[in-house]
Amino acid sequence: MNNKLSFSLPSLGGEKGALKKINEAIGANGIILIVVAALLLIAIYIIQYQFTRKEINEDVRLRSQNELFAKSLTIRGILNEVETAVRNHTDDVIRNLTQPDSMYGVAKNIVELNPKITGVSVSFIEDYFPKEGHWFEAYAVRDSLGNISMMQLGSEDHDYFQSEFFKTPYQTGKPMWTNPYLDKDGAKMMLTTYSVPVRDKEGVIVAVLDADISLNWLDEVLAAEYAYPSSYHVLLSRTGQLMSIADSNFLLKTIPEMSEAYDNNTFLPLNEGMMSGESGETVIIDKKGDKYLTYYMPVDQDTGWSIAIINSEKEIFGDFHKMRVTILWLSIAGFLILVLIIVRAILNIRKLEKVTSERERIQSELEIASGIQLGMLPKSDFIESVHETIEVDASLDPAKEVGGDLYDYFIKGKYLYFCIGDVSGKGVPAALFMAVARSLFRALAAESIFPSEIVSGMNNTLIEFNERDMFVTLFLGVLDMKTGRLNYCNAGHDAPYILDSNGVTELNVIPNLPLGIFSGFDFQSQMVQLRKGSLIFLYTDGLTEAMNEKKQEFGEKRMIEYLSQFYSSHPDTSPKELVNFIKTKVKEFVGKAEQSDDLTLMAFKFLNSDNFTEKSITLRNEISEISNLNKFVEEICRNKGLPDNFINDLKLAIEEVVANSINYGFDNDEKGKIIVSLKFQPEEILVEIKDNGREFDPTVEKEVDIDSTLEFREIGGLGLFLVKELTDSISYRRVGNLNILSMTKSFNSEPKI
Amino acid sequence: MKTTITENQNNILVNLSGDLDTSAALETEKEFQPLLTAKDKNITLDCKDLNYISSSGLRLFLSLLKSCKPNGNSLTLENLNDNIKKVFTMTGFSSLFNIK
Repeated sequence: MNNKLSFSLPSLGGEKGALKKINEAIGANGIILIVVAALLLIAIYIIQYQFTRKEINEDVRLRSQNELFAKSLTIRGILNEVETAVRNHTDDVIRNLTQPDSMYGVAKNIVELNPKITGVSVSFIEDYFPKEGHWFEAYAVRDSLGNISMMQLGSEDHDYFQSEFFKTPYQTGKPMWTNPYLDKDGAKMMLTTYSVPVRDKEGVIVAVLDADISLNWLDEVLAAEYAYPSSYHVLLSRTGQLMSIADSNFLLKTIPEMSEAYDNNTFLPLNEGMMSGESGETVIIDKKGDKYLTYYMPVDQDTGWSIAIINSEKEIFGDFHKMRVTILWLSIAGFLILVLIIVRAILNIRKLEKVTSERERIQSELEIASGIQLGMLPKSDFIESVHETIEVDASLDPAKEVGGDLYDYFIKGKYLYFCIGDVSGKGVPAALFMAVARSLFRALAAESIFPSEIVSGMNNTLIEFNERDMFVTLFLGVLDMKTGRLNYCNAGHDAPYILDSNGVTELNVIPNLPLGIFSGFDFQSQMVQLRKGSLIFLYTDGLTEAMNEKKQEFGEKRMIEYLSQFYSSHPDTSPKELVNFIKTKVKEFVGKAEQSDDLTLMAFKFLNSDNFTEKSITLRNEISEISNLNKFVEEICRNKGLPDNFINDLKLAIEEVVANSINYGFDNDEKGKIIVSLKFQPEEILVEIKDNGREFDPTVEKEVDIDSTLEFREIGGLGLFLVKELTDSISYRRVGNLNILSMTKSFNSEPKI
Repeated sequence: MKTTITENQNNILVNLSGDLDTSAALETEKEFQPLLTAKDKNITLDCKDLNYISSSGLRLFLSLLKSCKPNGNSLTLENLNDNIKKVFTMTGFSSLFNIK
């Protein structure tokens, strides 16, 4: 019991679930749609059915009426023929009134001339020929072999005076057709008789000429060309006797008799209609319920006959029913296909709606993301309001809602930190990676003033969290806003351009590698001294790779041309004007083509306040002066924003030269003077050390063997060795009584070890 | 430039602080005198606070190292900063000295 219950429940639940599923899948509207479609199909089917039925009915009526009319005409024609034949011979009777025997010839003549006439009798009124007796009826008849025999029929037994064929024309004076009757011979031949009164010259009726007509031809006439193969005809006499009927048992019986025999009342209206002498139609229904469409029409006034045709509805509508069934199946099939299409269409619409709303949601989220991303960008007004030595402007146009380009800058102390970068790829992934890179820039820049350190830190962290093997090219700079010394590190990014009194020059960059590729990569920093009023212009490849409709790239050459053109005509340009100019030119170039990549432009202008380029110190030839020298070098270099290791190397090189000069350049107690000057040039520092000691060229000192073992290691010579190691060039000249030693050290020189 | 020498049984710890430039080397040379005469000691120069060294400083270190072997002393340098390490490398001193 329990089992049964638990068995039946899930199946019930399943069905409900299925219904629910359908409802969920296509919804109430979908179901309504299908129901409406079904109703429409049914309506179309019904209308089509009714219409066709009506058409067929109309067709049946027309065909039947046409046929009845045609058959009536044929019958009437035959009857006319007989009537004419009989009437034409009344004169023969009148001409021979004196010779009773000639009447046989007259009768025979008529029979001979008319194959449809089986017998003719000339029946005279009572006692017309006294010699012949009370009755005289001259009769000619054709036997079954076609021979014609003649006889006198009138007698007491055959008192024709009482017979209709004689009595009626005699009394009315008009020709008449008798009711049909069966041949007395029992040959089952149906006959009818046409009787014409015969008047003598005085107009007195003296005889009746009548012809017996076999009605065998009736069946022949009626059987020809039925409207439908199973149709049949009914011919009814004036008095309601059946002259032609499918069941020959009912010949000369009446329709009511037949109705009774078949126990079928539906015959009766036909009888009534046919007897009324009007045209009309009725429906006969048999025992099986099959219908017969019946039409009737009077044949002729004289005979009072009426003809009907009975058509089986089954037969008439047979093809129609077949067609109807075919149409029904086709309709059902069509409907099922329609349902399928509707369901699929609705499902697709649902899916589309879902996809569309999903897309809209993503779109709106992207717009928000775009707002957030653009909101992350720094505002140039802020920089300019807090620092008067720097002007900055930047512009970022993402190709999509969000982009993989980034730029950022901020001020900390006397330093302006900035970067510009381009994440591989586009869209959301690039934007996320960009956001991470930008955050790292901010976080790491707060910890260090050394671009290579910041870049290395960004690189290592990005690799740690780089699941998708993305990378970012980046140019990162730390500008000492007081001195114009720019420390920078380039991680695979396009080199910026410097716009200054030398025109437009590409900044010398070590390419290094983009961030995110190689963990622990040793990024190299570089330095450049910006001249007062110079601009630095940075960009992403969205500029040089901007494409026009002809698929041509904007290119670096074009960019340099525009930069040069604009800078030479606007030497006092602001970063904003420069960025706007280049942006306008790119837009003009691209025209109606779709923006293919994010486009970022950034420019700085350095408006230095204390941009000294040369400092010097004068020292006495005393060892104690070394401390002053070192303090001097250190301070100047720190002011210029030079990094620690650079300062250390420079300090050491200068100290060694000066110490050498103090120790060995002068005689004991000789008062000497040593002048050290530092000249800052864009790429390097130039140090000149002049003394008035004895002539001495330290550059030709012998080399120290740094690989010798301790025992052989000499105490001296190390100082000048170090000088050569720590500088990029060294030269000596003697001018008058002065030793002049010049050294250069590049801001970007690689350490020699 | 400041030199602090702490002696503990066989161990001599020398704390060097400041810039060991040419002028400071004169001073420091005098401070190093006890080390040149010590015997059978483990001498450690802690350079944690040593910012800078010039060739005269290097010479001092070399003299001290040369004195160690005949006196049965050992010499260890500790906590060299990057700049000083660089100078040691350049001059080949890093292969002469025991640097920790």
